[in-house]
Amino acid sequence: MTPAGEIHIELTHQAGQVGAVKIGSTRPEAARVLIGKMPEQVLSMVPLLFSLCGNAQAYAALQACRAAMGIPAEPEADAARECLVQLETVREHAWRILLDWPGLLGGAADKDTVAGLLKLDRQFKSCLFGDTEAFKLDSRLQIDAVRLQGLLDELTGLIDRAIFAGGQNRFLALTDEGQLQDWLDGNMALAAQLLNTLYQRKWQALGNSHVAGLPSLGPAELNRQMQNTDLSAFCRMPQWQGQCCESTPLSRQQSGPLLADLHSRYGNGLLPRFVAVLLEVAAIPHGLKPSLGTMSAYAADGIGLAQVQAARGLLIHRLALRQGRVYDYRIVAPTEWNFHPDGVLAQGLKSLQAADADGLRQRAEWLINAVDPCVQYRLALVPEN
Amino acid sequence: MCLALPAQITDIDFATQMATASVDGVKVEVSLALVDDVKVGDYVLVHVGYALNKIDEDEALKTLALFAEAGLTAS
Repeated sequence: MTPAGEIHIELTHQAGQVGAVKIGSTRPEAARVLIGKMPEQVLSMVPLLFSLCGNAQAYAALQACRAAMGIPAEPEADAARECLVQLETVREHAWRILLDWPGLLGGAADKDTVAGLLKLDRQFKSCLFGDTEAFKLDSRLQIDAVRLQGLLDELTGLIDRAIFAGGQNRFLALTDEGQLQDWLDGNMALAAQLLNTLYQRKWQALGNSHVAGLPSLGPAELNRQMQNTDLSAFCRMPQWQGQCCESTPLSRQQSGPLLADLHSRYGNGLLPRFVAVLLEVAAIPHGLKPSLGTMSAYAADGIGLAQVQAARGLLIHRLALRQGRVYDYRIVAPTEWNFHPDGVLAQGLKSLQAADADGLRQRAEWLINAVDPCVQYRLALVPEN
Repeated sequence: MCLALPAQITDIDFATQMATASVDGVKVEVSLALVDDVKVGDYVLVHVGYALNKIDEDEALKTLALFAEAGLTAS
């Protein structure tokens, strides 16, 4: 076990037929280190602790702190912060696509392109906030619009070349499965190779389950639910109104025509999942604006509650302040919704069938990657007695 | 939330772009393919086997102290 913790997934099977799925987690509640700290200290510590998806984490912490302290939002700076969160989503999607998808297809990853992507991404913050921090109470906007546009153009070009082989705009214009299949025909782009493989293996609906997408959570209602529940249990195994829910790019993107069509045919199977990620990675740099859904802050009696759409799904920060210090701090990450023991991954895994254990492992690995490619996990296949 | 711990590079094989790094006293193999100019003694943030970026020693030590305060590491 690493200090960062991991997810343990156990599939009990008989000759490739899944009998039972167990999912456990050793992921720590690292937020407890924030207890007793002042909000300014929290905002210095959160980016150090949660450096992955660090912008989403830092923005959620800032919103929660401000709400608890009664400090008003800063519309212009917050718009810039939302852009940084969305660019982080693009980076997170793109680097996993470029590293993982060639491996899923039996090839080698283009690490030079990934290195170029990460180098580009590190420059965005200084285009919006200069040399200052972006997610502090005293952050100041210093927008360098020319340099920002140049970086966005570079990012769009890199993604178009490396993932879509120049076909990104055509991909973004697709509105139904028929058009998608035309786009895929003879297309050797990395995105197309992966989607074509799904069709060849008839895996479009692989892992489909009836677990619903997490709806938009009313802040007051969410706060009420968290107040009336065992907070530790909610953070480790969240449910909404007694039900497991999915919080992923797919669950927040179903309003577009292409995904609506694919969802009606394949539910939340592999094809809609991978297409949802591709749509985000292609669309976000084109039109940077708050568009992924909920980014909200809520205040009540010294409590600050923030919701931010991070790369893998909804991120919730909730803190309680007493006499200027954190009395309680909770974080609910998308992983905990999606890797809930009865959640969308567990139900998807239960539906898998293969001719043998190797085939089952391969299908499980694809499904886990499609639900969240970033989570550290250990997968064990146990033959049923 | 996923956590990435700072790791100190202890050995580098430049031919394979692989390094050995120490995370909380535990040795791990890390790919350096995604970062430039890493030397033995440098700190990097490691996630799923890759060094994602180099961080300065001051930030690394502050981060490690936080992980220790949270009871997530031994030191």
